[in-house]
Amino acid sequence: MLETQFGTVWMIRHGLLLLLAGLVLLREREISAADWIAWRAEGWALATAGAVAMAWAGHAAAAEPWGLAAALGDALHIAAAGAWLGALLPLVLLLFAASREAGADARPFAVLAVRRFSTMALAVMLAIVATGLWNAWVQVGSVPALIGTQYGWLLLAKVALLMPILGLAALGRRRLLPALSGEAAAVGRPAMAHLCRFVAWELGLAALILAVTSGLALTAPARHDAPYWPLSYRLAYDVMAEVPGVKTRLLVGSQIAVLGLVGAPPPFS
Amino acid sequence: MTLLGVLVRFVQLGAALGLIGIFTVLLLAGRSDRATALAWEARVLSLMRWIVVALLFSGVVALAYQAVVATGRAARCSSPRPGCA
Repeated sequence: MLETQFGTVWMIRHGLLLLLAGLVLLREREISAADWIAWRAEGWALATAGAVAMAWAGHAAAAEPWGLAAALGDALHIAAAGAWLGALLPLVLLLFAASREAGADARPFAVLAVRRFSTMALAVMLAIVATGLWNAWVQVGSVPALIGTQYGWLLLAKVALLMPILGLAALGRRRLLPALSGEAAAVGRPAMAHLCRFVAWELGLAALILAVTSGLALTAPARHDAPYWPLSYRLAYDVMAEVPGVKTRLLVGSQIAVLGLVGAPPPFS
Repeated sequence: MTLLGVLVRFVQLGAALGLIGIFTVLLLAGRSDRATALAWEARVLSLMRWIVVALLFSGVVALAYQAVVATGRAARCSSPRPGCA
């Protein structure tokens, strides 16, 4: 326990979790607004500190030569994932309760909560993607390692699961969020029930991402594994560069691709 | 990579992220005196208590699992030679 980094991090994490358990299990009803905020802010800080400490007991902490930067990137990834993924279950419960006939009294509260979450989720998702790319670079580092190792396949599965979540989130944000403030019986309530189903789907897919991530944590990073190249050809620019005219064609082709991406209509518009 | 290891890690990650998310939503949603909102908050707080207990319990299991893996006892247990204890 005292002689390994895993043991030290485990003790720090569980010290924080015991404090959190005390805070949660011995809670008394808050009277003042300051107490109300303080209890939740302390809980958030302890939960976040306990979770991000995991970064120092995983693959990121052992990454060379970027040890600290890799662990910090992983810590930010965990904190951002917690703020998004962990919020889905309470949001489903809130939307379900407020979308029922008997939950009409809480509908303005639910609409406000979902709007605030949606604003935060955009920034959080950008942080998840940015830190995920950094983590992938640290642990994978090359295309052969990405498509030719078990770690790389799990990472690709994680990305593939994230795509439909982003689609559902974009659709919910563009179509359902504005409808929440519509006329209660005809527009607002059905939109809330619809959004509840969307968030439940996101939660299901996020649980699958979590399962894949659990597998990643117990798999040797691709950078330290011998890749098996599954294709019958290799992607080697050095070889291609010797072919006459290839640089010009590559330049023109890449510019057309960029123009296509920029000019494409936004999804779900 | 064993099923037990993945399962323990899944519970650890899910519970840890769940706690961050619950506190985030509680802070974002703000206060309300409406009956449905209060019932929702009570439900979420009750869920949170179970998550904290699950997180602490799975933490002990994760430590035991790591100790077994690090000392190589799991490999010895699955081999025909004695020395699993």
